[in-house]
Amino acid sequence: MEAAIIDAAMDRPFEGDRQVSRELIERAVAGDRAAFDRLVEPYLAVALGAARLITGSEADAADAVQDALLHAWQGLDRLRDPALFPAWFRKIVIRSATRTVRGRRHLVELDLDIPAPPDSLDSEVDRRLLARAFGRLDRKDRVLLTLHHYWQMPVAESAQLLGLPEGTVRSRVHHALKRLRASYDAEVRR
Amino acid sequence: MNRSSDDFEAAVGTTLAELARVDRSTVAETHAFIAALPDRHPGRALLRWPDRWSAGLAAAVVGLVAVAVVASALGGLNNAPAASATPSPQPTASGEPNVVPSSPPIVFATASPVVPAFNETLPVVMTGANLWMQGWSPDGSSFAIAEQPPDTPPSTRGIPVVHLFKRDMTPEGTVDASQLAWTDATHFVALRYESSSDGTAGGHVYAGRIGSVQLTQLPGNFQRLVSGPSGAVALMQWWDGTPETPTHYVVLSGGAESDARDGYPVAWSRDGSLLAIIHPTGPPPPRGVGSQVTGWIEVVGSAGQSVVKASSANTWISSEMAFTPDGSRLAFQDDTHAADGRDEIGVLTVATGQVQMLGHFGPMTWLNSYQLLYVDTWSSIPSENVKVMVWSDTDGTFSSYSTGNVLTANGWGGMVVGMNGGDVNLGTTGPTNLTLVRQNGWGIVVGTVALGNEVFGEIPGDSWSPDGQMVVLVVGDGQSPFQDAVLAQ
Repeated sequence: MEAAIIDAAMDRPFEGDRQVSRELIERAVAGDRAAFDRLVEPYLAVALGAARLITGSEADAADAVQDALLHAWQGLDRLRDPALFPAWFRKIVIRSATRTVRGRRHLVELDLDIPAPPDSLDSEVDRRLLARAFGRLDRKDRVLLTLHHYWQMPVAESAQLLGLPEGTVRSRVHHALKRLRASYDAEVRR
Repeated sequence: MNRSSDDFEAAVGTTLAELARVDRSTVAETHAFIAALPDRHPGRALLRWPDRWSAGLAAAVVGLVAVAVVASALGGLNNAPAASATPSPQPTASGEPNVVPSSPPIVFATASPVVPAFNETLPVVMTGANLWMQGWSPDGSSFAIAEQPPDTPPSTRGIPVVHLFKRDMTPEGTVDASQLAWTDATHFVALRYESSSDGTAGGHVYAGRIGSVQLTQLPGNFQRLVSGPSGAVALMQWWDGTPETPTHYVVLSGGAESDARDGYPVAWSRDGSLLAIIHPTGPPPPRGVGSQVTGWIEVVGSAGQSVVKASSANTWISSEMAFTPDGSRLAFQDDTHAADGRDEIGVLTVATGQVQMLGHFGPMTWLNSYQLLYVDTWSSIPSENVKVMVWSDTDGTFSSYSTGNVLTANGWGGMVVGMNGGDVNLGTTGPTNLTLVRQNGWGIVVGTVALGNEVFGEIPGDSWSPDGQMVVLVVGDGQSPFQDAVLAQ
């Protein structure tokens, strides 16, 4: 039986989450777009970044986040606790980004604009090759690594988002990292 | 190319941060989009909430009223919190057994019809948020499905609800717990994560019985339950997750706990006579979520005696392990070559301690006691991740078995294999399983079941009924928080 594994160090509030103002939410629910803008502002850039990692392009990321914003805007009145807004919004963004790439069978080549490392050092990781290796991962691995190595999402939250026990999430991330490593090594050998 | 795990993970974080950069104009466009959002429609829900929730809420209210009336009549439950319609034990600071009078489980005497989240053709057990299977009772008369209600703080412990069902899908009640394990046909233990009086988190285990309103707290602070089809249960004691700290577990027998034993329990054999445990050795977990404590494997008997020690078999603590149906072999995920990014499936022969590495890797399950099925995922090319392979222990050969990335088998010939995102083929290779098998013989795919959407998450081994006749599948689309639990047979 898969079991939820609790790591006390992980069982903490998301450090990136700020206190969400109930007043802002109430104003947004009342139709105040400016209040909604202020509400999502702290999370917008990182949401666009996460969507870009998952979809592979900035244009698709913008579409995905706009779709998420529309969902959040229209579903805001069902949010019972303001403290839940960040996690709720993250969930909508990830789902929207995943939906954007859903059905794509081909690999997504990320737009690579990472500068070349100053020297080719065997002891260091070539981030351009690593970026290319990341682009070769499948959707699930990209989502997992985006959640945990970019968004730093707590395991409990991603477990709920993905519908998996926490132990399984840890194991899947473990494997995603290994596949990334293998993909990277393949890029290095090219 | 000797890069440490820490170096690589740090590079991953840095690289993803660089890749995730977006132009300021994109952010500005997004703000412009917000300014141009359409008017809100108060009360309009974009995310679909199945009608079950409203109907179920009404039923729950009726149930609560009924409970309150009964409680009032009995005079013993007047102080039960109104919102607690499920057994809701309170731990004691001393850790002593604590019998908790609680309101009875909700009785679905007038169960509302289930309105599936998707267009299902199979019988729908329940529709709910974030479902995962919790296993069948040893006699197959009941099973349990856990649910994490939507829009709840993910870090909050104790919120998941475990729904209990009879084999015919009749609801039997609910328990507030993160994990539940059956010890026999009517008894179970449930794990709840709760804060102690000093504010520290902990896991408490409660013993319960179908039809009873009482839960009895077992002494100790626990992290996870490991149960087997026979009703064998190991309780992993709270652990800080570092290899320097010893791991301990106890085994339940006749409702009593054994003495604490060393190790991290992972998997029981089908008959409950063998337990696979890990002895953590290291390395210290680096910061990444995917970093796991690793250790070597030992198989012990139900009384704790060592059966075989496999010091050369290394794995990590959340890895999958599976005994063959006859308990003669243990498949595990080897971590020996982790530094190279290579994982392999290993097979430990219990009688001899011999470890065989298969050179392949993927989610795995025993088709029977000598054939191991696995999804061959050793490829970074998504289109290649669709092969189900079979390894035969009798001649050591590998062969292609089917196409798919979804896989589960009950060890007696019944299996589910297929491509996620479409139909799932329900097939079999054994005569002891499905009724249709007896009519069609060996090795014949006897039917195709269409699901309303993808298999959501995974299909754990304990989704199968002990007699191999039924399997519970959780169907979802990854977008809606709601899934359907359907019963295939």
